[in-house]
Parts: sequence; C-alpha cells; structure tokens
Amino acid sequence: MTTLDNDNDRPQRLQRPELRGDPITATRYTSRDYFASELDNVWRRTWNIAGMAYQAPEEGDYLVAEVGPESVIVVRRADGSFNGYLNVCPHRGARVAEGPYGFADRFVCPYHGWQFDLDGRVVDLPDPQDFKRGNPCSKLGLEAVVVTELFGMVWFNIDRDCGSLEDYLGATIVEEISGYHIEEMVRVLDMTAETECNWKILTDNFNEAYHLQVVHPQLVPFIESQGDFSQIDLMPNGHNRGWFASYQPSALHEGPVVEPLPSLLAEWGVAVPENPSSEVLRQLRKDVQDKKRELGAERGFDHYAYLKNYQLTDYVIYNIFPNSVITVGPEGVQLLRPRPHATDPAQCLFDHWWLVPKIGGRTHTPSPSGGPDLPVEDAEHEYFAYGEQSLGETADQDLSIGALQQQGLGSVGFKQFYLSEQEIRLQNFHERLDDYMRRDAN
Amino acid sequence: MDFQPVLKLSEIIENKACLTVFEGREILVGVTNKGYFAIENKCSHQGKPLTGGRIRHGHISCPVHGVRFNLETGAAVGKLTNKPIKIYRARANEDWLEVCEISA
Repeated sequence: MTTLDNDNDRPQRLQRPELRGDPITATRYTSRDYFASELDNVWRRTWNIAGMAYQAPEEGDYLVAEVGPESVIVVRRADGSFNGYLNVCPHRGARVAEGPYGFADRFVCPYHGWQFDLDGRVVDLPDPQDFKRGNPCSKLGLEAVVVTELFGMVWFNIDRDCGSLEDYLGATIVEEISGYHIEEMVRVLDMTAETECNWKILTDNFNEAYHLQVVHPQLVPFIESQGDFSQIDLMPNGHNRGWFASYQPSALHEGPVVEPLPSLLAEWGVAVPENPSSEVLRQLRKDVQDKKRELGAERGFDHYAYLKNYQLTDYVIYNIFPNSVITVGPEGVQLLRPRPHATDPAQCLFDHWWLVPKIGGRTHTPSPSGGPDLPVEDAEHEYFAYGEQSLGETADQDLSIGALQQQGLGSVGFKQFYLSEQEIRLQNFHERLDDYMRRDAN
Repeated sequence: MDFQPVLKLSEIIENKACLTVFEGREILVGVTNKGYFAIENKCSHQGKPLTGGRIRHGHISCPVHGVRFNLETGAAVGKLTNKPIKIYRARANEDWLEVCEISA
C-alpha cells in the first residue's frame, strides 16, 4: 500500500479534540426563539465574508452584505483599507446603501438625505438647526463593524470586541488557504438562491461526505470520499477540513474506469492501462501530479508553482464556522455558503461562487453549473429561487435535500441525529454552536 | 430623427461617462465593452444628475444612492426604483460619437 505520510501527499493530520456528544435535536432548525437567539449569539459575533476585495478597487467603492436581518456596508478608503458599518441610518433606521455593490463619495440616506462620509460620520443633512438634542453633524454616525481583508476577500464581524480574523481561523487555515492565492483569481460565477431550509441543513451537508455516494453518484468515478485517500480533521472554533483525493476512482467505485476520469488523465498525457489493479489506479494520480509539475508552467498554469503535490490533484474543503464553506481544487475555488434568512428559520439564502486563476491565453473556463464555458471575467450577480435555474449539478443535488429534511425535522417522529464517524465534523460544528448559544465561546 | 455628433471620440475613455448636450438636454455618453451608450443625465429615483457615476458590468451607479442603470436598456436594478432612465441610440461615425432619439 502506498504510504501517505509525506506532507506533500496529503494535509497534515491534526490532533482531534475531545467531543462531548451533545445531542443534536430539531429545535435549532425549526424554532423561532432559537433563530432569534442565534442571531445575537452567533451571527452578530462571528466572522463572515462580505465579498471579493477586487470588487471595490477604488476609494468609495462599497459592497453590501446581508446576514439574517443585518446588512453591512464595507467601503474602500483612500489608503486602500476597508471600513465597515451597519447599514442603518441613525436618524430613523432606513437602509443607507443599496447592494450588492456601488460607490459613494458620501453615503446619502434615501429617506431624509442625511449624508455620511466614508468614516461613517454625519457631515450634512437638511435643516440641521431643527434638532433640540443638537445638530447631528459631528455627533451621530453609522455604527462601525470590524473589517479585515484576507484571501482576497473582505471579512467582517459585527462584534467590535472580536479578536483578529487570523486568530479566529487559526494558523492552519490561514496558511493553507493563503497558499492558493485566491487574491489573484477572478470570480466567474456568483449566484444566490432562496432555499426552503434552515441554513444549518446546508452547512451540515458540507460537513460530511457520507451523502456523496447517494446524492452525487457522478463524483464516485473520480473523487475519493472514503478510505485511505480521504481525511477529515477537526479544528478549534468549530472549523474543520476535509481532504478528498481525485484523479482516481473512489474506493466505492465498482467496475471499469469510466468518464470523466480517462479525460481528466488524458489532458495531462496519462493513459489508463488495460485491466488496472487498484495499485496501478492509485499511481495515476501521482503521474498527473508529476505531469502538472512538468508541463503546468508552459501550459500557462502558473499557479501550480504555489501548490503542494496533493493540491495539484485533490479537493480540500474548509468549513469555517459558522457558514463559510471554501472548497479548493487544483483548478479553482468554490464558496458554498448558506446565510440565514432575515426572519424565517425554515429559509436561507445559498451563495455559490466559483473563482478561477487566470491561466495564460485562456478566455473561458468550464462551468461548475454544467452550462457552457464561462468567460474568465468578473461575473454579474444572479439571484433566484432554488429550482428556477441551475446552481450547478452538484449544488442542485445538495439543495435538493433541503426542504425534505426541513420538513422531516418538524415532525414529532424525529428525536435526534444518529451520526456515523464520517459525520463527526457535524458533531464538532454543533458543539461549537452550543458553546456560542450558551455564550461559552470566546 | 437623425444622428447628431455630440463628442469627439478622442475624448472618450472606456467605462467613463462624459457629460454633453443633445437637443438642449444634458446627456452622458461613453463606451463599454458592450458598445457606445447615451443616457439622460438624470436618475429616475430622486432626479439627481448621474454625473460622476461609476460604470461596472455595463451599468452606471447613481453617485447619490447607488441605483444602477443598464446602459443598453435604461432599466433600473435594485429596490429603490424600477423606473428606467431615458436612453438614446449612440454610434461612432469617423471621429465623432453620434446620438439619435429612439423613435417610439
């Protein structure tokens, strides 16, 4: 059997924290009280992604991000850094800026015309002398949030007493994802779908690969989800990482090699021999890694120079608590992110981004949504209800379980989750959620 | 209606809107990767000029509240208004950008 202890062959195994075995019941998916408490205890205290930093290249360019009932503005300043504010006028509470992006020399409330500079201060308004409590200028302003740029993305935290994003994520996530240089990529797909389930039903789904053989049978011929060529690691703060080797059939695959594996291999000049043994099949992935090292640069795949061997062929999923799911592969990066609905625990908004490196001479890239190739340029945001349009075959399959699980969890017939070992990332996630809900989390 | 020259092409930079006058009304003209455009210089949301609005993805953002307008159709994007802005036909003819009313 091939040994895999080399750091280049797979992610380094991490020590597994002790889990308590907290029961996971339906309340957290269905209860309005739980949902309201979750907004305070989780969403207003954790880090979330507002967008790609390159979307706001110039001073005054801003992005608007929505999480539950909260709307946050992040705006580029003259020195290149970002400021962030809750998108709420201190006068009577109207939203000040409209998303998903725009620019402003000053933010101007559409209701009574209060004007805010990029530092959030009220700088002008109609009839400033008319306020008995004093002129709002120099007195009132937009409520600030904490903003940090990392991985080419703008992150925010509504809790002004939060620690740094880097401490929150931990060194492993920061170092490994930084190695993919997402800041040099372009987002070629940017979709949001209204979905009929609680946001956690989708994060749970991305926290395990047990469903892959049933929900995504098309992946089994070329991605591992079990056995020696996959690995799951739990991390502090409820984060986790999953590693799934590709360019080889899963241990679950039966019968001869089938597409798309031969095509994937052929692209790098690797052929499948007649009647290959499992050892021979395992070697094909290593052969592709060698070929990518050898030919990548001349074919314009400059980013391969950054990557470790396993990163040249395999998929790694980083589930960042609470909901930022970043899947990295050799040819691009996905964000798969459910966000809570503004008011309803039984709905969420699902974001699907696909980011690709700029590969010399290539103007188009294969679409993860199964449609025609996508132009390698910043995509316009698409917003629709699940089912109206495809989010991509795999994402559509994932979302297909949303409503049916949400409905089942509302039944008196459901008691609590009964999890397998390969679903242990869910347990880790939910125990961290429990910490936050009890306000035990740091 | 006939096309009339409104601006020298040499004054036009991609994704920048230039202020000029057509038939006595202020208009913004320019070019994006989708072609030349000409629009009225007035936001349909609260009537402010669109001058200085940045252009991204074939849309101009109003500098006041950020309402975005499709430069090819005039359609508004977002929640603040669904009222389109007036657009004109625009074309290059030798050294000039020319503009024409769209007949009803």
